[in-house]
Amino acid sequence: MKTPDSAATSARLPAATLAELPDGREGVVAGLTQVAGLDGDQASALITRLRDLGFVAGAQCKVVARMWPGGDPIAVRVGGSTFALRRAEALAVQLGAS
Amino acid sequence: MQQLIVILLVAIAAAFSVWKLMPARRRLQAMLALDAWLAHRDFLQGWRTRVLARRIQSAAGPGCAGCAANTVPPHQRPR
Amino acid sequence: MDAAVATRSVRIALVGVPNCGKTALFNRLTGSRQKVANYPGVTVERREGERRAADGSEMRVLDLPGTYSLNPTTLDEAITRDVLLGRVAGESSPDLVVCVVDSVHLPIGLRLALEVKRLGLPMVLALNRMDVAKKRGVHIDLAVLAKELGVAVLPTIAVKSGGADALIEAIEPRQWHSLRTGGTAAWSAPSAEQAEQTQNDLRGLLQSVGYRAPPDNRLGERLDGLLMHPIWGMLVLAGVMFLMFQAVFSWAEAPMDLIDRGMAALGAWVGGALPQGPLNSLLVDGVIAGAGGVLVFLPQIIILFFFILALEDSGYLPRAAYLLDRLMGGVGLSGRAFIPLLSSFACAIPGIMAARTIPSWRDRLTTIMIAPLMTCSARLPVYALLIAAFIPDHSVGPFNLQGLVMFALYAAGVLSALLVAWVTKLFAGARRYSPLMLELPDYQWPNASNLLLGLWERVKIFLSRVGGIILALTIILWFLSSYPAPPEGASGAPIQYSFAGRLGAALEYVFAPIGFNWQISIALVPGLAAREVAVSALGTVYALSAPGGDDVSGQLEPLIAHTWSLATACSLLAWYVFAPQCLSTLAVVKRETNSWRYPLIMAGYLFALAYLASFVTFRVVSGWT
Repeated sequence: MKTPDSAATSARLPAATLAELPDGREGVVAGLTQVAGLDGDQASALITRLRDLGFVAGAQCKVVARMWPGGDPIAVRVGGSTFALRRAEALAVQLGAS
Repeated sequence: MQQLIVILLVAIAAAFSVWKLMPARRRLQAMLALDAWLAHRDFLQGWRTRVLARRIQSAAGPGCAGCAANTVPPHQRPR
Repeated sequence: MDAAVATRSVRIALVGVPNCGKTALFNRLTGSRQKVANYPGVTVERREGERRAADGSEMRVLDLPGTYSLNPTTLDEAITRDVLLGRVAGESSPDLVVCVVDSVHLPIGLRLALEVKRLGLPMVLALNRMDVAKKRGVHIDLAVLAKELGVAVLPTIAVKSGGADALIEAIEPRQWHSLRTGGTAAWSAPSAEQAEQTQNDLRGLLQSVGYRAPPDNRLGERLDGLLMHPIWGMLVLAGVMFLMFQAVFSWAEAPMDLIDRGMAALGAWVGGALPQGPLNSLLVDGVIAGAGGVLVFLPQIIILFFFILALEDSGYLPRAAYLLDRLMGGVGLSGRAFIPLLSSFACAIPGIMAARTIPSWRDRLTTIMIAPLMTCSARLPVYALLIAAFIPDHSVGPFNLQGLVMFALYAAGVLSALLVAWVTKLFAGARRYSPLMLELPDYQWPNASNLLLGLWERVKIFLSRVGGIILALTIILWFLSSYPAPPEGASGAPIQYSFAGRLGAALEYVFAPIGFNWQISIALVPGLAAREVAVSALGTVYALSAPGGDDVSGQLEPLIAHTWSLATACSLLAWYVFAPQCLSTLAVVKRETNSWRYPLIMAGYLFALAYLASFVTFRVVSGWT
């Protein structure tokens, strides 16, 4: 579902990336991005692996647990399986409108 | 008489300990030498093809295949 | 093709994502006809078994390491890909691939199946856990799946006997001519477009078979809410560990007592049955007092491993890794180090080798260097002996003091490992990112037959160690402790005049400052080969120590309790937390790091820490008692 106004769109999103998705909220994966702070090779390998695990555009995901402090790591449910991800890994997953 | 048995047992224990504590490569060399020596004899051939060959094969690979504590790591156990 | 099948045994490979039940299926196909070895050049385990086909020919079944993709991120996964491509030295591609997919987690398994299919090898799909899927409301149209995918699809329930019958029928060699999938045999890392294509194919496939993601598992989620909670989860983890050690002491008491009395009776019988002489002494003081002294700890080992195996099977361990990841990162360890370090509780050697799954060299090296500090099962008899002799069997609130001390010793091992890792981190500089991406599998009740099989494996290993190297070294020690015999008219125990006795007296100079007497000093020497030997060595040394060569009645534990000071006992315990002396561990480190430097550093730092800890403990406890 698209709206012409991007500000309104972002206002409806629960979060920009998986790292900020509040516990228990459903999010929809929009895509994967290179994470700042990782070198190029690592960032690409991360994207490939995340995609293989099921973080593809249109997939529904939900954060089921979050470690304290700082949300690192978090436990995410996607495609019927649950994974523990570092914050740096979760930052690579962009969320979009459902 | 007892002395004889004792000496025998101690000798076996010593040989066994040396065998177990030898570096893996030496053990493999020893087994290969034994295999080569047996090749020209005509006894113990059955043992050679069955037991010795297997031992050589598992010893030739690296890792702890020969270790008594060899177990499957947790992430590979049956689930 | 038929001729080739007839002349050599055929090879079947099992492939699948981790936790899909592949290995349980492997067990069902091969039964006890399994062999664990290593792939050439690497330490990834190679599990191969045999199965006899209906026509009598031999089939070899290979259980490949679980992988999420043919595009590998670890050594494990690279091996799976290489075996499938026939790139592994001495092996061509398998003749048949069985792709195992967990029905409950269909998308991730099916995606791998699509990748594997592209390799063009003959393939069948085993759809596992169909019973659980049905219960969770997941319905998959098998016929449609088979048609769309173009391979035979067999439902399996690996954990039930008879659950793999359909698969067994399908892998009979006579069926294979119908199984070619067609595709290129070569493989290259997929491009973004190809990955996209695979995802599209997957989406289409899932839709046509009618797959819907199962509704969230209520119970599993409630459990996770507790067990993965930052605070409650940690408390539960500590509680579970605690409970484990309490159980190791209280549950083992009765069986240990039984074995103890059995050994004493056996010793008395043999001592009486044989005429006095060296053989009598060898058997009673050497074999029975010595190796028998280690045998008595079998119940404790069984209970310890019962807990470890049950926890593994239940799916809890990755949750523990999740909870501890931050802590481990804080001391500079990779989250991937959790499993190798956990393996080290059994024996540091497989743990050190499992560190090969850690991608970064620095992380891997740190893990290797601290693995021996994780209390390996060989230390258990030593701890148990000393605790039983010196720690009173009191209760502290609901807890047993002995169990508490055991827990404290294990905790000391773990804490010292974390400390060493942290110190290493200080020297090594800033940490970079290291991947986690750990799957948290569904909770399940530990499977009873898996558990029993695992325990039996452990019992066999323990017994073979006792009956093997421990017995042999004890016999040798007996010999060195009995000869040369004391000269006429000598006072004091005969053992002091023997080789071992003299060596012990010499070593005592080194160890006196930390409170070790010559008996302990001697016992540490054969402990180089196997840590538990210290117990059997002490048994033999004390059995031979009675002045004038009289028969020694009573067992090791009360003897020690009366002759050693508490300070000495605590000092020895502290020594064993670090226990620098296992030669096999050092040998493996040399092999894994390809140099002498690291094993020498390891021996050095462990010895220094052990000596320091013993010294401090001895002085403190002496001053206090």
